[in-house]
Amino acid sequence: MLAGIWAVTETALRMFWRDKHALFWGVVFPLMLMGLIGSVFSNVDDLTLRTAVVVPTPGNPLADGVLAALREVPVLEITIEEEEAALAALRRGERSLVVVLPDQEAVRALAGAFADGPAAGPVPVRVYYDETRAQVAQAGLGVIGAVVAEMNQAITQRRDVLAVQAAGVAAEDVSMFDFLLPGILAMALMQSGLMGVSAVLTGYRERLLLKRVLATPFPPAAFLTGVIARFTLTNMMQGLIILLVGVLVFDAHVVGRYVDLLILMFIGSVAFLSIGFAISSASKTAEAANTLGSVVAFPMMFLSGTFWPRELIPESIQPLINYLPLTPLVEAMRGVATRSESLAAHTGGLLYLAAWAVAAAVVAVWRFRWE
Amino acid sequence: MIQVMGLEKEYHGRPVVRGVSFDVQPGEVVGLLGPNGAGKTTTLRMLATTLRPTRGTAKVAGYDIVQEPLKVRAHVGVLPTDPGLYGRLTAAENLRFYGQLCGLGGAALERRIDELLEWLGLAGAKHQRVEEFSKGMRQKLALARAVIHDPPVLILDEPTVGLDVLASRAVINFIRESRKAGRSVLFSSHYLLEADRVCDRVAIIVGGEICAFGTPGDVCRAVGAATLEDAFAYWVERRAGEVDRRVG
Repeated sequence: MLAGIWAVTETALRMFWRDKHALFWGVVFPLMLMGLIGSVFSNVDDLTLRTAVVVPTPGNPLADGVLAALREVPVLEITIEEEEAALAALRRGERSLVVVLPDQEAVRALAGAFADGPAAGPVPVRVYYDETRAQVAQAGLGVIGAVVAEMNQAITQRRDVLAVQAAGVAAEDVSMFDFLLPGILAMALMQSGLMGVSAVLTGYRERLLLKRVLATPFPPAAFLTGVIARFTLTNMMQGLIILLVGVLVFDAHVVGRYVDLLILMFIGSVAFLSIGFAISSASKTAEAANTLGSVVAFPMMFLSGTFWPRELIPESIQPLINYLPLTPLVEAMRGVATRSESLAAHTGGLLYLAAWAVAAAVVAVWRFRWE
Repeated sequence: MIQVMGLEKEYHGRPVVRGVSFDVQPGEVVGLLGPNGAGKTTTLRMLATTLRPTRGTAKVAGYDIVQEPLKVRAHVGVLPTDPGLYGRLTAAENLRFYGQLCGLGGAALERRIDELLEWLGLAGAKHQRVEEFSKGMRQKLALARAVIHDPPVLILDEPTVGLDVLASRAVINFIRESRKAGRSVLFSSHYLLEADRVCDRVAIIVGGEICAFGTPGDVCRAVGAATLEDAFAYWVERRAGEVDRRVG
């Protein structure tokens, strides 16, 4: 029996290596995407400084004044955030700067100092920057320093009321390629599962190859086991090639454990194979499977954080993103690759992905047809 | 070697094969002859265990098609209307794969592959990919695949359809050789002259029922026909007349 299963796997592998289209879409295309997107967007930080502004006490006129002035600067892309979340985003490389505006107490102290006569020390405007991006930090501190100086002039005509207090934060040095690699890996696994499996199985069915297997004494379930083994092996190989090219050619860095990435590749591969089987079972023709696969794959490809951070996707569709099965895989892979997170930190998401796999397997078994 | 007993098949309550019974002995070639939609392929598929009968059963090589389908498959070679070969594999790789699915392997399988390719005149194309094969070459390879495990029973669905004269001759020779080797061969066909030449017995099936079964001579004599084609036309027209009367 095992020899027979291996025969199926080996034969299917041979056919895969001889299928230039499958090789292109499975291996070359994801790498091309990574190369293109990585090259185009790798210098995006030079153009825009994604700046998180922390307003400890809203309604404070001094802080509001600084905020309004910051908003006037075209190069700053301002978002209002909590200090803790903003600093975490800075460490992840998702923000260029974090500006913490003076709180009510500082303003009161300043007002008191004015009333009592002698000048108190300036009120700090804390600016956190990423130590690993010297150019961004330099540019950012320069811009914020200029804004603060303007404010001093405009509001108080004194130069020492507000002062920039800069603090470096040791963020992981996440380049565009570091960010893209896990997303592209997850996307390639999803594509092989959804499009590859469904195209191959419906093709086998249409060309009556599955029916031929039924006429042999080989148990049908063992045949499918061999096919599943083939896809798992090719997915892992595709993933390894993408990982190697990403690291060696595009200089992407993986700060977490490689073995965790491999485990995630395996989990993702099995989950999307299962969904691919369900799609091929529900489709009568290869064209129908292709269309259904695309309908399922495309929204995930663009919404699950494959090419850009989820934060950039409009708020209104954020809830939808949480339900996509690719999202937890991308997040876990990115967590491991760029932030050295453990798999345990992603247990919830991976269990959700596993639930998708089980549900899809039930549909696949229920609807599977040999002809 | 094949014993069919009251085999019936219905699709959504519509009968397609109705109470078919016949037998094929070892070393005998039986032709299942009928017009399109007569139930030939459905009958063959039930005997090959790729389709479950609604009622009735059959024994193939001594095994029940409903109770022991895997054992039946181990003893039967099947040639479907569509060869269903893997285009990206070579001739030898296709045969090796199916041989392995039939539990064969090692040097014995390699010898068998060489022997079959030689026998069917495909030895020169052993390492050629099937996607480059002509229709006739594919059919020969599909025949080789059907007998890779040396089965005692062969079920061939329209084995010469769409082939040129030389390829058809090769297939007919293959059937004759198989008979000589002691195999039971059951095949379906539209080509009555060909059936007359190669079959020991024929079964005429119309509307899912067997109308006549016997040697070509017996079948002709039973209805006073001069040729098998006349006998075939007689049964098809008579059957159509019965349907007309029922509808009328």
